[in-house]
Formats: sequence, C-alpha cells, structure tokens
Amino acid sequence: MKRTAKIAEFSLFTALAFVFSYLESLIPLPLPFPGMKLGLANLVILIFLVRRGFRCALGLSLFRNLLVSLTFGNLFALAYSMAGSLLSLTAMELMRKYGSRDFSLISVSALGGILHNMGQLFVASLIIGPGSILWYLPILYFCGMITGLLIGFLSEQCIRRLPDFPKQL
Amino acid sequence: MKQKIPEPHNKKEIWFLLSLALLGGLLALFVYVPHNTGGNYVEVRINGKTMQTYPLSENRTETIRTEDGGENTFYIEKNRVTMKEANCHDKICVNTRSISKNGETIVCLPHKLVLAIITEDSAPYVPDAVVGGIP
Repeated sequence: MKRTAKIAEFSLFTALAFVFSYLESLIPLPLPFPGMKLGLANLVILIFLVRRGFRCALGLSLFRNLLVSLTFGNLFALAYSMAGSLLSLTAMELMRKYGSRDFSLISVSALGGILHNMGQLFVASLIIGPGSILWYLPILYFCGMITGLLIGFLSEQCIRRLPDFPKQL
Repeated sequence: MKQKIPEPHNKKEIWFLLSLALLGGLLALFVYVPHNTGGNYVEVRINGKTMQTYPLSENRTETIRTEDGGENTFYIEKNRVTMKEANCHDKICVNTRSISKNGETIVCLPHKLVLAIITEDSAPYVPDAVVGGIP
C-alpha cells in the first residue's frame, strides 16, 4: 500500500511539474532577452526536494525534462535541461545539507537558479564553442539569480503555509 | 517530517546574496567592458567553425543553409545585424534583438548557428591557397 501511494504521489507531482512547464510556455514574458523563463516547474521540484529528499526530486526533475523535451522540444533540449537540473539540484542539496541552519530556501534557490543556467550554457558551449556564448553568460547569471529568488520566495511561502503538504505517506 | 526552516533575511543570508550579485557584476564587467565598441564584421559560425565573414558597412541580406536542413535569413543594415527568418522550432534567434557591438552574438541553438560581431583591423581572413608554395 505504501509503495503504491508513493508511486501515485510521484506521478501526480510529475504531472504538476509538467503542467507548470506548459502553462509557462503560454505566458510570454516581456523580457529583452528571448528564451528566458521563470521556471515555475522548479517550484514543484523545490518543494519536493524539501519534503521528499534529493533522490525523489532528482527523479521528478528527470521525468519532467524528458516529458517536456519530448512534447515541446527535441532531444537537444533534453541535454541542456538535464545538465542544468543536475547541476542546480546537486548544489541546492549540498547547500541545504551543510548550510540549512544559516540559509533559507531563498538563498538555496538563488544559487540553484544561477547554476541551472550555467549548466545549460556549458552544454551549449560544447556544441557551438565557448566564444559564442560568452555574451550571454552575465545575462543568464542574473536571470537565473532573479528567477531563483522568486521561486525560492514562493516555495518558502508554500512550505510555511502548508506545513503538511504533501502529506506524509 | 516537520523541519525547521530558517527565517529568511538573516545577516549571513544577505551577505551570501550580495556576494552572489557581486560575482555576477564582476562577470558582466569582464565580458562587456572590453567589448563596448562597435565591430566591423559579422562572422557566421556553424558548429563552432567560421564559415563566412561579411563587412557591416554593406547592407545585404543573406540566407544560411545548414547541413541538417536549417535555414536562417539575416540582414545587415546601418552596421546592425538582424535575424529575419529561421525555420527552427523555437525562433529564439529571430526574437533576439539586432547586434552591432564587438562580441555580441545571435545564437540559433537548434541549427548550431551563431552570428557574431567581430572587429578586424585589416581585411577578413579568407582561406586561400598557400602563399609561397612548396617547391
């Protein structure tokens, strides 16, 4: 029973993250630099990281990336998003593990947002050469930081207001 | 699993965020300040290799075709390069604003195509026959 409940919960959260990714693609943000997103799905993944731990969040993010790139993108997009997710989740987990007394989710998420973009840029630089992406590095750094701060703030609010969400299985 | 979440906005946290921002600022300084001048050529790179170079001084429209069926059309006007059309799926390159400064790029990741502004003092490098030759 417990196992079934876990599978069901995981699937529900995967669906939620997927829907957030889709919703986001419907809202065009008036940003001067195209291709930038808020990363609403990361809200789901961050809450899952706090409540269910690193392995569950990593699995969730893996499935979401797979679903999103198969539905809206291509397999190249998968490589970018995987690199970004892996780097940012690992860093956020380490920061939570060793600095959870000093840092709130806002800082954790800001670091995660930055590293998410840096991971994607790294894969891009492997494909088109480091010289061609240099111009985007500082822009993406700040975008990652700002979106990370926002997502961190939202997650923090969600977790404070819903102390029993998702319910312990 | 109830756990204690630290209050945000403590001193350590603010220092952490400030230093993150400072690091980004330094990054921007290093990347943008040396390149804050207008370039004079646009370089077309596919897969990281330079394919063509066009002077910014001549107005023109060019269509680049990549091996995997990609087509990108850009034009040069008043020393600025703008991506006009592309048959990629995300159209990020088309939505990128036009570029003119040394180091600025328009990237079309699906086609692995980059338009980059460069500065060259003399005529652009043209791959040519070996000068002098081998006896």
